[in-house]
Amino acid sequence: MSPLLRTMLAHSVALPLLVALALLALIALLRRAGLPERVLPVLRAAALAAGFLTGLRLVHGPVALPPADAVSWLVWLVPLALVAFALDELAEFPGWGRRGLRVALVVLSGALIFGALLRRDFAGNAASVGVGLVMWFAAWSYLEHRPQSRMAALALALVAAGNAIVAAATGSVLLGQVSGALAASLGAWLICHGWRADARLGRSGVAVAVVALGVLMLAGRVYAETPVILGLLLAAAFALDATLLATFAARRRSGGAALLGLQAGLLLVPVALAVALTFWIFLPGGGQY
Amino acid sequence: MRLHTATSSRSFAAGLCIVGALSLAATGAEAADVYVVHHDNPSGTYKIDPHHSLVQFSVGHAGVSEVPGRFDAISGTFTFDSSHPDASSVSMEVPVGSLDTNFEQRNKDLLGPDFFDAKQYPTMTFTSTKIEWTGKDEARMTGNLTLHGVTKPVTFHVRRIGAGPAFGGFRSGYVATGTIERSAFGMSYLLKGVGDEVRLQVNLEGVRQK
Repeated sequence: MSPLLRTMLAHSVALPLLVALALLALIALLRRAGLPERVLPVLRAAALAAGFLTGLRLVHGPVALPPADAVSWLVWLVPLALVAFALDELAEFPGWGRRGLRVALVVLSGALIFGALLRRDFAGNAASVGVGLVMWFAAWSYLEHRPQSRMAALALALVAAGNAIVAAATGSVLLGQVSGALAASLGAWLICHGWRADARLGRSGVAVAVVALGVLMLAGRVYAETPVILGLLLAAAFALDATLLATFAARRRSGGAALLGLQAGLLLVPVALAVALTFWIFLPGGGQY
Repeated sequence: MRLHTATSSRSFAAGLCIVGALSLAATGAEAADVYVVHHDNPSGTYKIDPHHSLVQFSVGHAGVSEVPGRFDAISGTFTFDSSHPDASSVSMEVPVGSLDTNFEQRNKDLLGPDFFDAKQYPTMTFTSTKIEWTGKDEARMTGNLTLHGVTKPVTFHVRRIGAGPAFGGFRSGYVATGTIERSAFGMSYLLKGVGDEVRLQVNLEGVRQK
């Protein structure tokens, strides 16, 4: 393996994974020392955010002030999402307040990332940005209501990993690497908590992952022109997850690792299809750059 | 025999005349085909001719080579006043989307968020702030380059090629060379694989407007 590829993998996979794992291990130690249960999802979300932001810093370079591109805004949007939904998690906002927060964060993210572009060429970009924001909000609303959070974390990790490959191969290696950092951080959460049936990614954890993934997928479509079909296939994983949840709702109470494995396997189908299409159809011969 | 000798002498003289005439004609034709650099007074304001101007760059690749690229579309103006040469100025705009590196996939990658982010920052501009003539046809030009949404001062070495009437107008041309660090313009991605230092060469040809 070339030193360059080794560095890229370290920045976008290994180090985010290690940072998130180390912080999750520390939180586990603090739990044993008597940390209140209700703050645990918030601290785990912070570990997830720390792993992701570590990868972002390593891949993207120094923080630009003011942020110069979509990825730079993540340095502010992810902590903002974490703080907003940590407050919600601790203070239990009413339903309308929580929905309002989601709308506000999606609209704010869209305005910051695409505002200048829309001012310059509204007609050419309004449709893709608008549809993207609605899908983003819908996926977030669904994931937040997902009773078994480990499946939400798995769906998010699979889609982030799929997006890492799709983006890197078809439009932006940078977006692919940053998406890889998100997948790795979610992977750390799954390693530590995915095996527990009652594990909760929590509203703050979902907020961190969904804000990061939403920005990366939309920026990929709008700025790097990743093919629409691949983005739709990745997003279909959430819709499939919702369908499976409804289909197996009754049986899941009796539960079982086999059923969860089946769901995870089925979730992988649209993601694997997107990755396969990337290499068979969209990736031309030759290397990048 | 005498007659024959006289005839031969006349033939020889005629032959010499023909050879001489052909030689002169050939020499004249050759002189007309020689490329001549015009050095007329270049004073005036010029509109950049995009078909004879471009921005070329080269950047280190993977620590083993230098990959070239070019921007094919330039618009703008430049002025030169021979009585006040240091008052010369250049202003130009380059659509980033006119990038060509001779490989379609690389063009797409470079125009995306990893580097130029062309949808977000569709143009780069340069406006000179100071031009010091260091010789008859050599100058040091400093100006503000706006690239990727960041404006920084950049210095070019400028060489005037020539000035004179050509192809339906009075034209003059320059070549400017300089170096920038892409990270200074917020393009910091993958510095380990794609060099930070970018060498620039701007070939300008303008048509005098007044």
